[in-house]
Amino acid sequence: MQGHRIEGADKVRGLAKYTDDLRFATPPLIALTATSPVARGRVQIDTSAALALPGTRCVIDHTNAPRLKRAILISMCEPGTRMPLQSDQVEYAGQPVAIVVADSLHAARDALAALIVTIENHDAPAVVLSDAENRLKSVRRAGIGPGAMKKGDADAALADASVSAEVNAHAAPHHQNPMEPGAVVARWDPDGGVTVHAAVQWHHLDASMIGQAFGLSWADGMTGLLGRAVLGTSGKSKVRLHNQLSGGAFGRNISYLALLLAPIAAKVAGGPVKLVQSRRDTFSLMSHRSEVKQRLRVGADTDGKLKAIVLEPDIARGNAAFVEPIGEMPMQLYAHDTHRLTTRVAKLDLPGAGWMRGPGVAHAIFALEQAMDDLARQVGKDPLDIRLANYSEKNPANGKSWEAKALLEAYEVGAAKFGWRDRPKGGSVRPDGRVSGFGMASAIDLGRQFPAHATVTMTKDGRVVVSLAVSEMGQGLLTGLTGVVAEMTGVSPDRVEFKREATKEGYAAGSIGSTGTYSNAAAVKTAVEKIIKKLAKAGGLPKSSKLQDGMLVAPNGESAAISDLLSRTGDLTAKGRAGLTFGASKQAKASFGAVFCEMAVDPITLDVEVIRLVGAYDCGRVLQPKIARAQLIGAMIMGMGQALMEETRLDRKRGHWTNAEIGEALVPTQADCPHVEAHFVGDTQGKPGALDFKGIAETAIVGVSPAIASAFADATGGVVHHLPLNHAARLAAVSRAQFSFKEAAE
Amino acid sequence: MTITFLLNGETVQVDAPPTRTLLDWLREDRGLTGTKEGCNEGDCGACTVIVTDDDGPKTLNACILFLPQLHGKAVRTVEGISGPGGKLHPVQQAMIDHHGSQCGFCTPGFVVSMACAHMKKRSDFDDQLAGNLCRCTGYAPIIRAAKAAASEPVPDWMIDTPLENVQNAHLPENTDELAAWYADHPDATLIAGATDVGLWVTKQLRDLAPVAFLHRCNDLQRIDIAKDHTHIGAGCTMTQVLEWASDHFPSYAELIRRYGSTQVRNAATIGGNIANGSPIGDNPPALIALDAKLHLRHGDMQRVINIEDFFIDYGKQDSAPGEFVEAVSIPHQPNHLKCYKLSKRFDQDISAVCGCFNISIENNHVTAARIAFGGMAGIPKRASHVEQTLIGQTWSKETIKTAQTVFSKDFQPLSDMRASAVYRLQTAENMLMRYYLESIGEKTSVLEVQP
Ligand SMILES: Cc1cc2nc3c(=O)[nH]c(=O)nc-3n(C[C@H](O)[C@H](O)[C@H](O)COP(=O)(O)OP(=O)(O)OC[C@H]3O[C@@H](n4cnc5c(N)ncnc54)[C@H](O)[C@@H]3O)c2cc1C
Ligand code: FES
Ligand code: FES
Repeated sequence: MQGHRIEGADKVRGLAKYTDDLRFATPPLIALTATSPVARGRVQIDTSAALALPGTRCVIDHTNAPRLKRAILISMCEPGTRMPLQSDQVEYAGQPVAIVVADSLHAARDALAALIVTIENHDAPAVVLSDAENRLKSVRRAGIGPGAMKKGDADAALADASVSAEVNAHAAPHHQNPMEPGAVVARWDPDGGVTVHAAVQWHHLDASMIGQAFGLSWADGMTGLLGRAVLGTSGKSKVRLHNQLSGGAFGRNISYLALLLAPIAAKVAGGPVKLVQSRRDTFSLMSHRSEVKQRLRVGADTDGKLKAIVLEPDIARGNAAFVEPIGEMPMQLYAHDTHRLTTRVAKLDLPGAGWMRGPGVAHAIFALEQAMDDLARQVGKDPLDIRLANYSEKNPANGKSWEAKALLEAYEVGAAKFGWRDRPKGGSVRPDGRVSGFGMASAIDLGRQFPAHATVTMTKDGRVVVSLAVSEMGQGLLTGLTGVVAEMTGVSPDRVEFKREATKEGYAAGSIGSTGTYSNAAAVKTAVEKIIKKLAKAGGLPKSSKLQDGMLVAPNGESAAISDLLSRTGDLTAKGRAGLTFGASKQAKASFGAVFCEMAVDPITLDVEVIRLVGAYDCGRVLQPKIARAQLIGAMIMGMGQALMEETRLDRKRGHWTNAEIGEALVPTQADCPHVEAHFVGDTQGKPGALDFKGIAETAIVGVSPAIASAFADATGGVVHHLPLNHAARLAAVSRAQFSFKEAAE
Repeated sequence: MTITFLLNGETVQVDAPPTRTLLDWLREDRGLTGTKEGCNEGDCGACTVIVTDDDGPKTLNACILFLPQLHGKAVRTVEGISGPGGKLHPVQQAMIDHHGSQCGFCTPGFVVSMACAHMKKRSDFDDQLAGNLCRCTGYAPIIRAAKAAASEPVPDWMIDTPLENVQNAHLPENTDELAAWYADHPDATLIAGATDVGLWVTKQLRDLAPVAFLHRCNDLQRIDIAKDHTHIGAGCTMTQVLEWASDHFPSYAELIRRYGSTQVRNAATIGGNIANGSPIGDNPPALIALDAKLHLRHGDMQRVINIEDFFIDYGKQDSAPGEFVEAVSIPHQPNHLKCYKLSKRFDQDISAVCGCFNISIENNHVTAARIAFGGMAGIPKRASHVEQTLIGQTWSKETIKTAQTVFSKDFQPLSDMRASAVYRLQTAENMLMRYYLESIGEKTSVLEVQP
């Protein structure tokens, strides 16, 4: 059915198979991971009791694990920095130190319980920024973002500014926590290659990681990867990575350790192995969003127009090259004269941090929007008006014009749908005795394009087959791409087939940074255009002809049946590529949005309830409005979780996460969810023939935490610069404000 | 131990160790992988199944449900929600139509919870689905789907009846059998709803043998209203207690509504919640405030104590080896009880502070006060100094303010990941003011929040 999710019917029946659900002719052995309870030291493992159990097949630690080679990883995730099980050095709590392989899940659990893990000489770790002052180093680059930037003399401009605001924002680490804990199945093949089943977000990248680590052929190494990404070559790959449905990911399923642990286990066990992750395992075997402190100062004139932005983030990084790219976006949102960015990074004794929805930008915009609110208060402007006053037609960071920007419309539509201009005064008392607050914020996320190579075949029997190794994590990419192909070829969606599971399929842009859909769609589109040209040639029609309802139709109305043409030409295949410039272009590209929040605060407990969240987003062309809106709403609720509850805490002595479980690392439940609205603005139809997509899923997490913090401040006067706004932060903020509810009520 | 039950309409016999969970058995032994593991500790609902016993159908989390707990019952998994030939259940169709599924990992759990609510004609979807977490959708489309399916008839394949005359599986069948066996095996672990014990197995990988299951002791699962008190058997689930409390102590009922989730309340027993001695269990403060008595039993011997005396110290309860909780009884009384639960997340979260207040006022004077807190000390504890400060005084804001100053004599709370000490003490004090304001019908918003 049009607009329905392709895998929907299987999912509601429980028939959709995730990696842990797969059944194989030779059932794999089961592997579980033992992790270090402390952050630093040397590990020794007594395996005798575990090995003595009847169901145990083997135990693998650094003494008998295969030696892995270094891998160059553009994802910057942990294996690019340190490969698992290569030495007795423990560098973070939760680090994998052994794998038990057994006949069944139960036998594996018994074996795990029987392992005796001893860590010697562990010295004190540093796992939070406040314990790592001496580890902070200035950086020129922070992950994919800049570490240092300068436009004019921002410090002088700040000193001269008539009005200024300072925000010291702090964000606790937290985890993506998609609902699937995840498993990886690995089997070594007779030709020395490896077959892996897993859910990954960036297929070829992670296939290459496995190839590099195990020293397989050049085709599986960096050269092979570049060949595939840039030239679209296939090469004889020995890593057969089968990408399975993913039970959510949100940045977590990129270059994770289990992709290496499972092949290690299979190699030593000498047979196929399924490595199963428990929920607790995912907290350290996979990435997290790291702790960030930001000192942000802004200067403005008496109208609140920005003169200077000075941003000094301190960012925690774990055992991976990845650094939360805080500096990337904040200079691109509002018009300003000068700016300076000076980033410091501290390597902490933690698992590798990594990608999570809205990397960098979600936190950066939180700080910036708090500063904007402060300016608004000082110059006596409405929060919306101060944003309008600082609206920038061009990208303020580099002067490029935007490909499209409907932020003004987003403000207008969002404010109208919310009733922003007629809202009651913050701090007024609701009929239920709670206190009202209202807040708003802007959202932005950069648009990027990555390489993709699609091979499209139109068959004589009327199917369209697309070879492109895209990842489906629930975002609806498959459904969206199917829609693009159906629209361009005039074939009904159920005749469009995607071959995406195996490494041999075309190189696809990863499902990362909301870039998957449009990068891949661009490649598909190029391929289909080539097919149309071939068909036109066969039918003697002009190249500008279009495919509609089984016909090739020329602009002058002349037409030919596609089936006739194909019966003459045979199946037609064409390759399409896109994104080879990685999105570099004359124009800047970003999604924009505006978010509005209504909140009720309980004056006794400072419990907050978000009553309404209304967002308006310019995400460019919208493929499947229902699916796209669902993405926006899901992201807004995740933003609410980030604002109010999501936080993974650390034990500063031993260095481990203290709430590594879903019952303690809270995420929103149905009962926490407010009335949510997401509206699309801008050119949602797109220009004819163009693929003017922008990102969707990341943009919508961006403005939510600042809008919620603003609403809390509006209700109570308590300005919270800590994420999440937990009870302690709320209480501290309200006490700082010396706010009395009594006064507010009177 | 051989266990017999119905699985999606088909009788199955299972020989398995007693602490084998239904989830592992379904996925590993039966190859029914529709039921998902999202957490293995009762928090996410991805493993939700419908279990039908004599009381009808209810949802339970399969990850903390041991196979023996199913003996004689009927189980329906997501695979059994669609009908013959794969015919979709109305909630399944609605989930497709309303895009209630994105990554789909939570979907089987939601579908099962929704199908059970649908069968029971429940429209309080927020409560029915609070135990199912979804990280993708933001829930709105799921709720829309639940509403859309509500008016559709219940498909006939959904109707299960429990098995009759199942063979004895060496499970205690009544309290006397249990008492005798436990007196002989005082080192055994009792398993009631397994919402605690389940985690010892799935998270801590503990070996529990020997164990005794309480769920077949029907005589432990009754709520009897006697002349001067209500007698609640230790095996009553929180769902049963919620139903009873709604009529007698609505504020206690509201507290239980926020206890775990539907799935957890359907499993957890009041006896287990008391016996585990947790300082943050939600029942003990309410029961202490209600002046409840605890009925303990060892073999043929029974004794009755004040419930607050059961909690001696953190991890230490007044019970002897082989002795167990048989019941709790609550004297009839006018309803002055108010329970306030504070947690990091409003629903489905363990209390940071749980305060229960039962204050009698005559002629504007406090004649009696029973106040108890969870989360403020190593045990559920009475606020004795606060009570003494109130009793005999006029019921006024000044009295409350004076009483607020003595909280620190009763409690020196700790800071932990649920709340800071300062915040705990502050809100505990504020809760008393809220009780006062509510009693005089004033809005609580005129309060000062001053640390
Ligand atoms: C997801 C989740 C959410 C939760 N939320 C809450 C919450 O909001 N509030 C709250 O208070 N608790 C909560 N809990 C904790 C839990 O539900 C309770 O502690 C529960 O009441 C225990 O009861 P049970 O029947 O499941 O006990 P079991 O797990 O079967 O047993 C618990 C302990 O009591 C013993 N025991 C059981 N019955 C008896 C008896 N009759 N006599 C003597 N000993 C006995 C057992 O041997 C064991 O030591 C939650 C648990 C989970 C998994
Ligand atoms: S797996 Fe999460 S509740 Fe059972
Ligand atoms: S659809 Fe992904 S968790 Fe619900």
